[in-house]
Amino acid sequence: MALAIELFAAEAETIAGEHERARARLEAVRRIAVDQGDEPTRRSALVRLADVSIRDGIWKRAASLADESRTLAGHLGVGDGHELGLLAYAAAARGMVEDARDQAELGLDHSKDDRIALL
Amino acid sequence: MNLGALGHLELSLGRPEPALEALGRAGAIATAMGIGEPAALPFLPDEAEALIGVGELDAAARRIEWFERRGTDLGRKSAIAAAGRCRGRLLADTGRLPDALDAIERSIAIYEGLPLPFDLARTLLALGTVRRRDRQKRPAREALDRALELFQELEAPIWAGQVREELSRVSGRRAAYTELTEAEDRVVRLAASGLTNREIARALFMSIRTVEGHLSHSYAKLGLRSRTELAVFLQRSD
Repeated sequence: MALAIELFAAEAETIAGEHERARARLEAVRRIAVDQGDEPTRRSALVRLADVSIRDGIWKRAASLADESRTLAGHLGVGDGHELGLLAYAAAARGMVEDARDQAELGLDHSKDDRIALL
Repeated sequence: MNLGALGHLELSLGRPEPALEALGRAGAIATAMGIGEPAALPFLPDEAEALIGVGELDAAARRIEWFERRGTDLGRKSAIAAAGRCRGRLLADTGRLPDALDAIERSIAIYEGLPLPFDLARTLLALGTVRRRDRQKRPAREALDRALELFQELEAPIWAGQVREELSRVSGRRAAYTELTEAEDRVVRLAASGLTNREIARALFMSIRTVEGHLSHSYAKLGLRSRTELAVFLQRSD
Protein backbone atom coordinates (compact mmCIF):
# COMPACT_ATOMS: atom_id res chain seq x y z
CA MET A 1 0.00 0.00 0.00
CA ALA A 2 1.43 3.37 -1.03
CA LEU A 3 0.78 5.27 2.18
CA ALA A 4 1.22 8.72 0.69
CA ILE A 5 -1.51 7.99 -1.86
CA GLU A 6 -3.77 6.63 0.88
CA LEU A 7 -3.28 9.82 2.88
CA PHE A 8 -4.15 11.89 -0.16
CA ALA A 9 -7.27 9.78 -0.79
CA ALA A 10 -8.34 10.19 2.85
CA GLU A 11 -7.92 13.94 2.54
CA ALA A 12 -10.18 13.95 -0.52
CA GLU A 13 -12.78 11.83 1.30
CA THR A 14 -12.70 14.17 4.28
CA ILE A 15 -13.28 17.16 2.04
CA ALA A 16 -16.14 15.34 0.32
CA GLY A 17 -17.77 14.63 3.70
CA GLU A 18 -17.11 10.89 3.53
CA HIS A 19 -15.77 10.78 7.04
CA GLU A 20 -16.29 7.09 7.76
CA ARG A 21 -14.33 6.06 4.71
CA ALA A 22 -11.62 8.58 5.49
CA ARG A 23 -11.39 7.35 9.07
CA ALA A 24 -11.16 3.69 8.03
CA ARG A 25 -8.45 4.50 5.51
CA LEU A 26 -6.50 6.59 8.00
CA GLU A 27 -6.73 3.92 10.71
CA ALA A 28 -5.31 1.41 8.21
CA VAL A 29 -2.47 3.79 7.33
CA ARG A 30 -1.81 4.37 11.01
CA ARG A 31 -1.58 0.61 11.72
CA ILE A 32 0.77 -0.02 8.79
CA ALA A 33 2.91 2.97 9.74
CA VAL A 34 3.23 1.62 13.29
CA ASP A 35 4.18 -1.85 11.95
CA GLN A 36 6.76 -0.35 9.62
CA GLY A 37 8.11 2.09 12.20
CA ASP A 38 7.26 4.91 9.81
CA GLU A 39 6.70 7.66 12.35
CA PRO A 40 6.27 10.65 9.97
CA THR A 41 3.42 8.80 8.20
CA ARG A 42 1.92 7.76 11.54
CA ARG A 43 1.94 11.42 12.54
CA SER A 44 0.26 12.47 9.27
CA ALA A 45 -2.46 9.87 9.83
CA LEU A 46 -2.98 11.02 13.43
CA VAL A 47 -3.33 14.69 12.46
CA ARG A 48 -5.85 13.82 9.76
CA LEU A 49 -7.78 11.53 12.10
CA ALA A 50 -7.95 14.34 14.65
CA ASP A 51 -9.22 16.67 11.94
CA VAL A 52 -11.98 14.22 10.97
CA SER A 53 -12.95 13.88 14.65
CA ILE A 54 -13.21 17.67 14.94
CA ARG A 55 -15.53 17.73 11.93
CA ASP A 56 -17.59 14.93 13.53
CA GLY A 57 -17.77 16.87 16.80
CA ILE A 58 -15.99 14.15 18.77
CA TRP A 59 -13.78 16.53 20.71
CA LYS A 60 -12.25 14.15 23.25
CA ARG A 61 -11.13 11.76 20.55
CA ALA A 62 -9.74 14.65 18.51
CA ALA A 63 -7.79 15.88 21.53
CA SER A 64 -6.45 12.43 22.31
CA LEU A 65 -5.27 11.89 18.70
CA ALA A 66 -3.72 15.36 18.56
CA ASP A 67 -1.95 14.69 21.85
CA GLU A 68 -0.51 11.44 20.54
CA SER A 69 0.60 13.21 17.39
CA ARG A 70 2.15 16.04 19.39
CA THR A 71 4.25 13.58 21.37
CA LEU A 72 5.37 12.03 18.10
CA ALA A 73 6.22 15.45 16.66
CA GLY A 74 8.42 16.00 19.71
CA HIS A 75 10.26 12.71 19.04
CA LEU A 76 10.66 13.62 15.39
CA GLY A 77 11.89 17.11 16.21
CA VAL A 78 9.29 18.78 13.97
CA GLY A 79 6.86 21.61 14.67
CA ASP A 80 3.63 20.84 16.50
CA GLY A 81 1.59 23.84 15.36
CA HIS A 82 -1.07 21.72 13.65
CA GLU A 83 -1.59 19.60 16.74
CA LEU A 84 -1.85 22.62 19.02
CA GLY A 85 -4.45 24.17 16.71
CA LEU A 86 -6.51 20.97 16.85
CA LEU A 87 -6.18 20.81 20.64
CA ALA A 88 -7.23 24.47 20.90
CA TYR A 89 -10.28 23.93 18.71
CA ALA A 90 -11.34 20.82 20.68
CA ALA A 91 -10.88 22.66 23.99
CA ALA A 92 -12.87 25.66 22.73
CA ALA A 93 -15.75 23.43 21.69
CA ARG A 94 -15.72 21.71 25.10
CA GLY A 95 -15.93 25.06 26.90
CA MET A 96 -12.38 24.87 28.25
CA VAL A 97 -11.77 28.53 27.55
CA GLU A 98 -8.40 29.07 29.21
CA ASP A 99 -6.96 25.82 27.85
CA ALA A 100 -8.14 26.76 24.36
CA ARG A 101 -6.53 30.20 24.58
CA ASP A 102 -3.26 28.83 25.97
CA GLN A 103 -3.02 26.13 23.31
CA ALA A 104 -3.86 28.47 20.44
CA GLU A 105 -1.33 31.07 21.67
CA LEU A 106 1.33 28.39 21.98
CA GLY A 107 0.29 27.06 18.58
CA LEU A 108 0.75 30.50 17.02
CA ASP A 109 4.20 30.65 18.55
CA HIS A 110 5.06 27.19 17.21
CA SER A 111 3.67 27.89 13.73
CA LYS A 112 5.90 30.77 12.74
CA ASP A 113 7.45 28.78 9.89
CA ASP A 114 4.23 27.02 8.89
CA ARG A 115 1.53 29.28 7.51
CA ILE A 116 -0.96 26.45 7.07
CA ALA A 117 -0.70 25.61 10.79
CA LEU A 118 -1.26 29.30 11.53
CA LEU A 119 -4.62 29.30 9.77
CA MET B 1 -5.78 26.02 12.72
CA ASN B 2 -4.54 28.20 15.56
CA LEU B 3 -5.95 31.53 14.35
CA GLY B 4 -9.14 29.72 13.38
CA ALA B 5 -9.42 28.14 16.84
CA LEU B 6 -8.77 31.43 18.60
CA GLY B 7 -11.32 33.24 16.45
CA HIS B 8 -13.86 30.47 16.87
CA LEU B 9 -13.46 30.61 20.64
CA GLU B 10 -14.00 34.38 20.79
CA LEU B 11 -16.98 34.16 18.45
CA SER B 12 -18.57 31.45 20.58
CA LEU B 13 -18.13 33.72 23.62
CA GLY B 14 -20.01 36.48 21.79
CA ARG B 15 -16.91 38.62 21.24
CA PRO B 16 -16.80 39.40 17.49
CA GLU B 17 -14.05 42.06 17.69
CA PRO B 18 -11.27 39.82 19.05
CA ALA B 19 -12.65 37.02 16.88
CA LEU B 20 -12.20 39.18 13.82
CA GLU B 21 -8.69 40.12 14.86
CA ALA B 22 -7.64 36.45 14.66
CA LEU B 23 -9.86 35.43 11.74
CA GLY B 24 -9.04 38.50 9.66
CA ARG B 25 -5.36 37.64 10.04
CA ALA B 26 -6.09 34.08 8.93
CA GLY B 27 -8.07 35.39 5.96
CA ALA B 28 -5.22 37.67 4.90
CA ILE B 29 -2.71 34.80 5.06
CA ALA B 30 -5.01 32.51 3.05
CA THR B 31 -5.50 35.22 0.43
CA ALA B 32 -1.75 35.82 0.19
CA MET B 33 -1.21 32.08 -0.24
CA GLY B 34 -3.86 31.95 -2.98
CA ILE B 35 -5.80 29.10 -1.35
CA GLY B 36 -8.94 28.49 -3.40
CA GLU B 37 -10.19 25.33 -1.71
CA PRO B 38 -12.99 26.25 0.71
CA ALA B 39 -12.64 22.97 2.60
CA ALA B 40 -9.11 24.08 3.53
CA LEU B 41 -10.51 27.28 5.02
CA PRO B 42 -12.99 26.18 7.66
CA PHE B 43 -12.53 29.45 9.55
CA LEU B 44 -14.04 31.55 6.74
CA PRO B 45 -17.70 31.19 7.87
CA ASP B 46 -16.62 32.27 11.36
CA GLU B 47 -14.85 35.26 9.84
CA ALA B 48 -18.01 36.20 7.95
CA GLU B 49 -20.09 35.91 11.15
CA ALA B 50 -17.54 38.02 13.05
CA LEU B 51 -17.72 40.67 10.30
CA ILE B 52 -21.51 40.70 10.65
CA GLY B 53 -21.07 40.97 14.42
CA VAL B 54 -18.99 44.13 14.12
CA GLY B 55 -21.26 45.62 11.44
CA GLU B 56 -18.89 45.25 8.47
CA LEU B 57 -21.67 43.93 6.30
CA ASP B 58 -20.16 44.63 2.86
CA ALA B 59 -16.99 42.79 3.77
CA ALA B 60 -19.08 39.93 5.16
CA ALA B 61 -21.08 39.77 1.93
CA ARG B 62 -17.88 39.56 -0.12
CA ARG B 63 -16.56 36.73 2.05
CA ILE B 64 -19.83 34.81 1.80
CA GLU B 65 -20.05 35.25 -1.98
CA TRP B 66 -16.51 33.98 -2.46
CA PHE B 67 -17.08 30.98 -0.23
CA GLU B 68 -20.38 30.14 -1.89
CA ARG B 69 -18.96 30.51 -5.40
CA ARG B 70 -15.94 28.34 -4.68
CA GLY B 71 -18.16 25.79 -2.93
CA THR B 72 -20.44 25.64 -5.96
CA ASP B 73 -17.57 25.47 -8.47
CA LEU B 74 -15.87 22.63 -6.60
CA GLY B 75 -19.04 20.85 -5.45
CA ARG B 76 -18.31 21.35 -1.75
CA LYS B 77 -21.66 20.94 -0.04
CA SER B 78 -20.31 21.89 3.37
CA ALA B 79 -19.08 25.23 2.02
CA ILE B 80 -22.41 25.93 0.32
CA ALA B 81 -24.25 25.10 3.55
CA ALA B 82 -21.97 27.27 5.70
CA ALA B 83 -22.30 30.14 3.24
CA GLY B 84 -26.09 29.74 3.43
CA ARG B 85 -26.08 30.09 7.21
CA CYS B 86 -23.86 33.17 7.01
CA ARG B 87 -26.01 34.68 4.27
CA GLY B 88 -29.07 34.10 6.43
CA ARG B 89 -27.43 35.91 9.33
CA LEU B 90 -26.43 38.76 7.04
CA LEU B 91 -29.94 39.10 5.58
CA ALA B 92 -31.44 39.00 9.06
CA ASP B 93 -29.08 41.76 10.13
CA THR B 94 -30.47 43.96 7.36
CA GLY B 95 -34.07 43.14 8.35
CA ARG B 96 -34.86 40.82 5.45
CA LEU B 97 -36.21 38.07 7.66
CA PRO B 98 -38.14 35.95 5.07
CA ASP B 99 -35.07 35.84 2.79
CA ALA B 100 -32.90 35.05 5.80
CA LEU B 101 -35.14 32.16 6.80
CA ASP B 102 -35.10 30.85 3.26
CA ALA B 103 -31.27 30.87 3.15
CA ILE B 104 -30.94 29.20 6.55
CA GLU B 105 -33.55 26.54 5.82
CA ARG B 106 -31.75 25.65 2.59
CA SER B 107 -28.50 25.43 4.54
CA ILE B 108 -30.10 23.07 7.06
CA ALA B 109 -31.42 20.85 4.27
CA ILE B 110 -27.82 20.41 3.07
CA TYR B 111 -26.41 19.85 6.55
CA GLU B 112 -29.01 17.14 7.22
CA GLY B 113 -27.20 15.01 4.63
CA LEU B 114 -23.69 15.70 5.90
CA PRO B 115 -21.80 14.26 8.88
CA LEU B 116 -21.33 17.71 10.44
CA PRO B 117 -23.55 17.76 13.55
CA PHE B 118 -21.86 20.78 15.12
CA ASP B 119 -22.46 22.90 12.02
CA LEU B 120 -26.03 21.64 11.82
CA ALA B 121 -26.59 22.68 15.45
CA ARG B 122 -25.12 26.14 14.78
CA THR B 123 -27.43 26.54 11.82
CA LEU B 124 -30.46 25.46 13.86
CA LEU B 125 -29.48 28.10 16.41
CA ALA B 126 -29.41 30.67 13.61
CA LEU B 127 -32.81 29.45 12.41
CA GLY B 128 -34.31 29.70 15.88
CA THR B 129 -32.90 33.19 16.34
CA VAL B 130 -34.31 34.49 13.07
CA ARG B 131 -37.67 32.80 13.63
CA ARG B 132 -37.84 34.41 17.07
CA ARG B 133 -37.14 37.80 15.52
CA ASP B 134 -39.86 37.06 12.96
CA ARG B 135 -42.23 36.39 15.90
CA GLN B 136 -42.61 32.72 15.05
CA LYS B 137 -42.46 31.59 18.65
CA ARG B 138 -43.29 27.93 18.35
CA PRO B 139 -41.15 27.19 15.27
CA ALA B 140 -38.34 29.13 16.92
CA ARG B 141 -38.57 26.98 20.03
CA GLU B 142 -38.61 23.81 17.92
CA ALA B 143 -35.40 24.77 16.13
CA LEU B 144 -33.74 25.86 19.36
CA ASP B 145 -34.74 22.72 21.26
CA ARG B 146 -33.16 20.62 18.55
CA ALA B 147 -30.03 22.80 18.55
CA LEU B 148 -29.78 22.46 22.33
CA GLU B 149 -30.13 18.70 22.16
CA LEU B 150 -27.37 18.47 19.57
CA PHE B 151 -25.00 20.80 21.43
CA GLN B 152 -25.58 18.83 24.62
CA GLU B 153 -24.93 15.54 22.85
CA LEU B 154 -21.76 17.04 21.41
CA GLU B 155 -20.74 18.37 24.83
CA ALA B 156 -20.39 21.92 23.53
CA PRO B 157 -21.42 23.93 26.64
CA ILE B 158 -20.70 27.43 25.38
CA TRP B 159 -22.94 26.93 22.37
CA ALA B 160 -25.56 25.20 24.49
CA GLY B 161 -25.50 28.33 26.66
CA GLN B 162 -26.14 30.51 23.61
CA VAL B 163 -29.18 28.39 22.75
CA ARG B 164 -30.49 28.66 26.31
CA GLU B 165 -30.20 32.46 26.15
CA GLU B 166 -32.10 32.45 22.89
CA LEU B 167 -34.76 30.15 24.36
CA SER B 168 -35.18 32.51 27.30
CA ARG B 169 -35.85 35.34 24.80
CA VAL B 170 -38.49 33.23 23.06
CA SER B 171 -40.27 32.49 26.31
CA GLY B 172 -39.86 36.07 27.53
CA ARG B 173 -38.04 35.05 30.67
CA ARG B 174 -34.36 34.90 31.45
CA ALA B 175 -32.73 31.66 32.50
CA ALA B 176 -33.94 30.70 35.91
CA TYR B 177 -30.82 31.39 37.95
CA THR B 178 -32.77 33.53 40.41
CA GLU B 179 -34.96 30.52 41.13
CA LEU B 180 -32.15 28.75 42.96
CA THR B 181 -32.38 28.66 46.72
CA GLU B 182 -29.54 30.13 48.78
CA ALA B 183 -28.19 26.66 49.55
CA GLU B 184 -28.37 25.61 45.89
CA ASP B 185 -26.57 28.81 44.91
CA ARG B 186 -23.71 28.08 47.34
CA VAL B 187 -23.41 24.50 46.12
CA VAL B 188 -23.41 25.32 42.40
CA ARG B 189 -20.79 28.03 42.81
CA LEU B 190 -18.45 25.64 44.62
CA ALA B 191 -19.15 22.93 42.04
CA ALA B 192 -18.41 25.34 39.21
CA SER B 193 -15.13 26.31 40.89
CA GLY B 194 -14.01 22.69 40.52
CA LEU B 195 -14.68 21.23 43.98
CA THR B 196 -15.85 17.62 44.21
CA ASN B 197 -19.14 16.74 45.93
CA ARG B 198 -17.17 15.47 48.93
CA GLU B 199 -15.21 18.76 49.18
CA ILE B 200 -18.42 20.80 48.87
CA ALA B 201 -20.04 18.70 51.58
CA ARG B 202 -17.09 19.31 53.86
CA ALA B 203 -16.99 23.06 53.12
CA LEU B 204 -20.72 23.59 53.71
CA PHE B 205 -21.18 21.08 56.56
CA MET B 206 -23.67 19.03 54.54
CA SER B 207 -23.92 15.36 53.67
CA ILE B 208 -22.78 14.30 50.22
CA ARG B 209 -26.33 13.21 49.49
CA THR B 210 -27.60 16.74 50.25
CA VAL B 211 -24.98 18.20 47.90
CA GLU B 212 -26.06 15.79 45.18
CA GLY B 213 -29.69 16.75 45.75
CA HIS B 214 -28.96 20.48 45.51
CA LEU B 215 -26.93 19.93 42.35
CA SER B 216 -29.55 17.84 40.59
CA HIS B 217 -32.32 20.33 41.49
CA SER B 218 -30.15 23.19 40.24
CA TYR B 219 -29.32 21.41 36.97
CA ALA B 220 -33.03 20.79 36.41
CA LYS B 221 -33.96 24.43 37.12
CA LEU B 222 -31.22 25.75 34.85
CA GLY B 223 -31.57 23.10 32.14
CA LEU B 224 -27.94 22.05 32.51
CA ARG B 225 -26.33 18.63 32.40
CA SER B 226 -22.77 18.92 33.66
CA ARG B 227 -20.31 20.88 35.77
CA THR B 228 -18.72 22.30 32.63
CA GLU B 229 -22.08 23.63 31.46
CA LEU B 230 -22.63 25.02 34.94
CA ALA B 231 -19.26 26.82 34.94
CA VAL B 232 -19.96 28.36 31.54
CA PHE B 233 -23.47 29.35 32.62
CA LEU B 234 -22.20 31.12 35.74
CA GLN B 235 -19.42 32.83 33.77
CA ARG B 236 -22.02 34.27 31.40
CA SER B 237 -24.47 35.18 34.20
CA ASP B 238 -22.00 37.03 36.48
